[in-house]
Amino acid sequence: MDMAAFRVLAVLAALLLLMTRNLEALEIAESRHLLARTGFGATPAEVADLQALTREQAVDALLARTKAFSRWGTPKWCEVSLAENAKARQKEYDSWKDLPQAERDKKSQERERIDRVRGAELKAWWYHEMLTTDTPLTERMVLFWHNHFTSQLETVRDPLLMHEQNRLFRAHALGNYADLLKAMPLDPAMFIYLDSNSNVADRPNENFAREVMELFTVGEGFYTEKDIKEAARSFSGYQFDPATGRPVRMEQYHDGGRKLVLGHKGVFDADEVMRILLEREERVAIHLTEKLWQEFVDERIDDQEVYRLAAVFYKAKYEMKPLMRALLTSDAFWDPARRGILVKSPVELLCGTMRSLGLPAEPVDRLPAWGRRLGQDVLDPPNVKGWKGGAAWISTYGLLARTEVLDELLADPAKAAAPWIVDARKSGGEGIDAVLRLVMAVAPARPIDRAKGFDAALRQVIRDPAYNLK
Amino acid sequence: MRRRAFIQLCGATALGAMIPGFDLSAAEGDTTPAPRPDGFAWKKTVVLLELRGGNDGLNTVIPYADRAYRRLRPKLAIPADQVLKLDAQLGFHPALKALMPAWKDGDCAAVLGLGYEHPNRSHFRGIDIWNTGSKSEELLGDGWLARVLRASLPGAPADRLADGIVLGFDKTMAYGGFGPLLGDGLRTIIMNAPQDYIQRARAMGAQPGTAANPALGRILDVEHTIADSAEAMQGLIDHAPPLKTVFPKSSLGSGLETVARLIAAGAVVPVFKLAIDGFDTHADQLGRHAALLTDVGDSLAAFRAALQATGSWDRCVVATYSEFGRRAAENGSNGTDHGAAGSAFVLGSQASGRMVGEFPGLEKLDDDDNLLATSDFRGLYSAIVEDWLGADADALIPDARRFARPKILR
Repeated sequence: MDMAAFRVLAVLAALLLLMTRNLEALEIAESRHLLARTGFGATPAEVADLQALTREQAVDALLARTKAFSRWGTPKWCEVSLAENAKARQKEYDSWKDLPQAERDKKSQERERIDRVRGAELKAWWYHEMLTTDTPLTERMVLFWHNHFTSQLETVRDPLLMHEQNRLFRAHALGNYADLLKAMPLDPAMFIYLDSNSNVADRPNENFAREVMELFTVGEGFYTEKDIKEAARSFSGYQFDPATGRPVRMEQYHDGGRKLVLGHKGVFDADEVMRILLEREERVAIHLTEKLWQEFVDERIDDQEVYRLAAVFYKAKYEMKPLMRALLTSDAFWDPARRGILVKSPVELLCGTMRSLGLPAEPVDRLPAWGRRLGQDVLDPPNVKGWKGGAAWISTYGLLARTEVLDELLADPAKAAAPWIVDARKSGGEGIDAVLRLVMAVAPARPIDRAKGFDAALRQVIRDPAYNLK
Repeated sequence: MRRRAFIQLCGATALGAMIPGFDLSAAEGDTTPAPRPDGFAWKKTVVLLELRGGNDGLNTVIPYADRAYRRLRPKLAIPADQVLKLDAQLGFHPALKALMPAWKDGDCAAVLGLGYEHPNRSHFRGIDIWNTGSKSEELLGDGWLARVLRASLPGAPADRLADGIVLGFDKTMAYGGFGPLLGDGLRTIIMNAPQDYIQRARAMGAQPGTAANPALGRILDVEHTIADSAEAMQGLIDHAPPLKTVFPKSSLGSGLETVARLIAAGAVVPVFKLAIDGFDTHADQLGRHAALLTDVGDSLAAFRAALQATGSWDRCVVATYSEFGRRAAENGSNGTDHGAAGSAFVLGSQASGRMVGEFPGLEKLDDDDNLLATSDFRGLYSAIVEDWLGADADALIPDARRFARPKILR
């Protein structure tokens, strides 16, 4: 072969390579789909970051970037250990003992006030994380776990314990579900929320066992009341230990007898029950996969796909990354017919809007209040089942509240100051096309009027019914 | 038989092999029958009041003459001389004294021993069962009244304000505050008060539109519901005489005042749903429960008075419900834990005016020491559907054929 022919071939090969690569590289619409489904909206920088990548590469990049810890320091009062906190609280309560009733009430009201303020700070801190994170997928997963293993600050009362739980969700955000599940009986907030302190051998309390079955593992319809009773016996005997600030097993309160849980017999304790569920009950993998499917792909469950993915999850011994990779690279996830069929949660609506438009985050405590108005009070879900989510966000109440909050958010459109918005604004009303491409999953339901300028058009886009979709 | 498929398969490579018939969607599949020829009574109204948290039925309709009652509840038993006696065995909690005129006039029925087989003691599952009208182990996606209303939609008057209105916003709304009205295809409003709703709907400014995307279509539908119903509500209120009755200042009181105002104004709304929270009395029950029942009794009495004064009491039936009753024996914290059977009230000018059904008694309890149900709540639902709303319960409420209809109406 002469040199010229070789060159031609080499160029052709390179072209071919380039073409294949181009064919597989993500379109802008695809990048924004991936970002909006796995994070909080999309920014041009985030889209640019994924531009040259294939679907698989982009998903891997998002997964590789996830973190097991928070970005910013938590409020100062979070810096004490659980043990120190428990001791300090105990000391405080002890110091009230001999006070007259009126004084005691005053002290306890003051304690409640401090906890309320701190709870509000904690909620604001989490929003701050979500607004500024460089791995929105991590925050989405922390929120997912918060909605899966729910506890309410309102019931738990001590904000430090809710912070501890949030830290646990971070540590396992895209780690291992089995590890997270096994950590639950020892999580102080969960322990208080589900009355585990009163689960003792001769008087079992079924709350925790019920939620393990109904919500955390196999799911509704796959266990009996009897299974709950037997599991409750296995979980019995943990008491709050003031020395460590954590639950600790006390043999005298633990029911050491034989149990029969979901057809499995043995002398089970908490670890054993969890192990059996994880190893022997395929419903656990299916239930988790169903929930993730509904969170990231489609509210309607595709049984066959979920089953396929659940098997991946089970085989990976409940590692989250292989499951998420399989889920996010599935044909269903990328199906163009499935674009814009999921409803943004209030947190996504708020954080997505603020992040992509570059709205000022201050004062950050506005965000928890807005979230609450929209029906999603972070750290205070409505009940142990968490937020139903999806289409349920859209009700006569929810839709009105969304319109109102978005109006307030964009009361002064000039405050939308992300560099790309500033650029787009220079083109006047026509500049809105760049915004539409990035913030909308589907075309707006109503024509956008470009004649009144960029900011008026921007407000129209944010108020469009289709803006609720991702 | 429990499946073990992919656990057995695990390790083999055939994990992709599908397991057919894995029943994950038991929640779907309601059948929608044709409406009855004599038709759904669109001009009548059911007001459902949820006593959220699990009302202690045993301290609501009290077996004051039963020694077992005092034995099971050394601290929580209501002294016999305080009970509002209905007969030689049973009486109301004293906090319900505002309901006694309605009782004496025969406008109130107490349904006893209400529950279902295999009672569930989870708040969430429990209220799901009551809201959907399902069997204990059955998962239905729709509220029982949503099914009834949807089956009757072909004959719905165009000028109706809504198919159902849920009064009051709370956190559970986000999860399913629609309760028995949960379900697609209905005109359901959630609001705090009419003026607030109207003002906000106008500010939102809906425009007509349709969409192929089902999620977007749903949003547009809800938007139109908001706009249309707000204008209709304004029209009704403009022509309604103000109510003279004074309602309690509680959120239940003002909620029922709103309902009374709309009914008096002639609003066509077959279902109103309200809730009062706080019945999960695990500790220090006596005072809390009395305060809650006072609110319920006073608010319902005011509601009756207001509708009587405006000549609309004949159009309305009120029914209470709760996810479960409470344990027969008190616990160690001066409270009661989650139980099973409970009782309900039905109010209306056509209420049967008596105790309906059989009090379960305290000698024989279930395996968990709870009151045994003597009548299934779906019988009560069927009676409301058939005797009041004029629809066909058998096709809409699972197993309805099996249950006797309590005589709640005259």
